[in-house]
Amino acid sequence: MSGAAAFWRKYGVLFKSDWAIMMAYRSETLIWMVGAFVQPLVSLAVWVSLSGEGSIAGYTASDYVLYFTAVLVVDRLTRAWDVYELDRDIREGTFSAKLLRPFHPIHWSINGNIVYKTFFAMLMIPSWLLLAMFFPAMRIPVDMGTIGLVILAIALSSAIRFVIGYQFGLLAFWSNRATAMYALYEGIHMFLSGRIAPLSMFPDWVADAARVLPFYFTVAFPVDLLTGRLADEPETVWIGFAGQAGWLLLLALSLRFIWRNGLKRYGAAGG
Amino acid sequence: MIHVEGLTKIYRVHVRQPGFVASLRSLFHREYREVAAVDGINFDIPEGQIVGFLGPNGAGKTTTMKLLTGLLHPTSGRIEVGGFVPFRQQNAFKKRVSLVMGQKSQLIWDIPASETFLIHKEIYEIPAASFKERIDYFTEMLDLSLIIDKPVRQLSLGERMKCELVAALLHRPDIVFLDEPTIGLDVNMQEALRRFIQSYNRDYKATILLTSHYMADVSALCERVLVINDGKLIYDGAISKLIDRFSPMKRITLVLGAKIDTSVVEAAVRNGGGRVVAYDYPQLEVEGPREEVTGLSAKLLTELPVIDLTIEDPSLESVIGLAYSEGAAGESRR
Ligand SMILES: Nc1ncnc2c1ncn2[C@@H]1O[C@H](COP(=O)(O)OP(=O)(O)OP(=O)(O)O)[C@@H](O)[C@H]1O
Ligand SMILES: [Mg+2]
Repeated sequence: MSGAAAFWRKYGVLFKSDWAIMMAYRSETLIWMVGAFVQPLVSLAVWVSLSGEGSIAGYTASDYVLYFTAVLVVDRLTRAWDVYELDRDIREGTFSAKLLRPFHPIHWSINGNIVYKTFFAMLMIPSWLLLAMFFPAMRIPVDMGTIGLVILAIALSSAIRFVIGYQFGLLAFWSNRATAMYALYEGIHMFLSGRIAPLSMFPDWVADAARVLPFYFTVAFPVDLLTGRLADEPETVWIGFAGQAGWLLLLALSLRFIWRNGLKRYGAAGG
Repeated sequence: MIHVEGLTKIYRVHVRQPGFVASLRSLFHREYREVAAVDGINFDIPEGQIVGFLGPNGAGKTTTMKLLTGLLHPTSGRIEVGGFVPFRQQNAFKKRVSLVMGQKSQLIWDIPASETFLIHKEIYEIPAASFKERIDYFTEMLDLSLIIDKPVRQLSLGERMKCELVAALLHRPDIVFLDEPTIGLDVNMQEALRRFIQSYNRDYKATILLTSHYMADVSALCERVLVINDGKLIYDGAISKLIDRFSPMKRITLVLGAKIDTSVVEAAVRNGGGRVVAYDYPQLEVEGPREEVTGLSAKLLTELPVIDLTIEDPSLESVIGLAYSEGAAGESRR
């Protein structure tokens, strides 16, 4: 068996078992998925009623419907939650079981993300297509080529958000406040990634900061691509992908650093 | 196979003060206390040996095992296990060792143990044919057929321990660390696991380090024991010599044929260099230094109307008890 084949077989078997576990808890998974819809829907309701017949910051009521539908899907497909499990595993010592096996613990987390996101995509994308048949505002104004770019942007954003979340989780090697720090980060992310409102509604300096930091690239960029906002701006599209790739590389390097140093501090509690 | 030199692990423990103000202050200024859980220990274990690792609660056994498997980074000292430095976490190392903790599960709780085994098959890259052969071997040895397809959370402690052992040994490690594998198990189950560990060691020449608070495990499996107390190694040698080292006394039990006055009995025992532990006619129990025990029994046989006489070593439990308290006394004197 070649190295690569063996590697994918590992993912295959982990996928199967994680999928089985998720299915065993499918109602919890559904509640969890739907729970994440609340915030974008509330934001949507607020902006639709504020914009009334006119438009705010370049978005009409119907633009808001499309924007927040896209936010809802992109956010759900890119958000990582590994910090909670990782924090608990590290503090309680259950991380040891994964550390003892000759397969890096990060693969277990990556696999978990793939499993849940596959499940979410299988539910959300058909639902969207169905709803779009009845609500013209939800129809996506882009061609298949752009859809391909959107998928790439979502994949890159998913990786960025995963690596960020994983690093926050690794902070548990040093501190027992890893999840609190992550909550703070998520709060900032909510505003600067475009989840609460399009970035064009913020003061320029805020929007600029969000475009330099990884925030814009994680949600607003794929959403802008998907809603056709970047149709006439090929340059912004390339800057977007370059930004995603650059941040991913940087974050991967810092992940490596944090991992190596954190491991030395692992207490392997229990037993 | 295992080489340990000057191994030390110091835990830095955050000291929590009670009270609100103190907890606020600790946000900015934390106080730490240092605990030397393992304190400069040395030992070597050759290939294929089963060694018992004994010590009272909190002595540092589990910490040592975590150091040897690379979970913990040593504060100082050298460790070599199967030619590897454990904390480097190389996959080649992980494929050769295993750690079983009676207190902690490595199985995935929501799915049957058989599925964890399948995950191990891929992760450890076990060829399909060997996998099947090994599962058959384990199923037969440990009588698993009824339990491996139940979700792990539904298994009893003993059933789960059997599956833990299989998950840990499926990749056929040649270096195995067993941390209280028989804890909480009934006598038959302990016996079954012991037999299994013994045959695993014999069949695969595995090197095994085993901790247990049950002396039956240790005396059944180990020729050699390491005793650790308060992070320091206080004994390394044959289990039989442990008794010599910590319990210099032997016990003689006699049955007397006629009721003899207590003072007479005591005088006879004292003349032979021993001490009366209990005298309750017709039974007499005497304790004496092991090197004089032959002379003492000869003397008792001539001076008293003896019907029956047996000489015994003290139980391993009581010897271990002595070893632990002597180690602790040695500690406080320093
Ligand atoms: N993660 C940790 N952080 C701080 N101190 C620890 C940690 N783990 C263990 N200790 C301390 O180190 C010492 C040794 O603990 P260890 O678990 O190695 O003992 P043990 O010999 O396995 O005991 P037992 O027989 O009770 O299992 C104890 O004093 C314990 O309180
Ligand atoms: Mg222990």
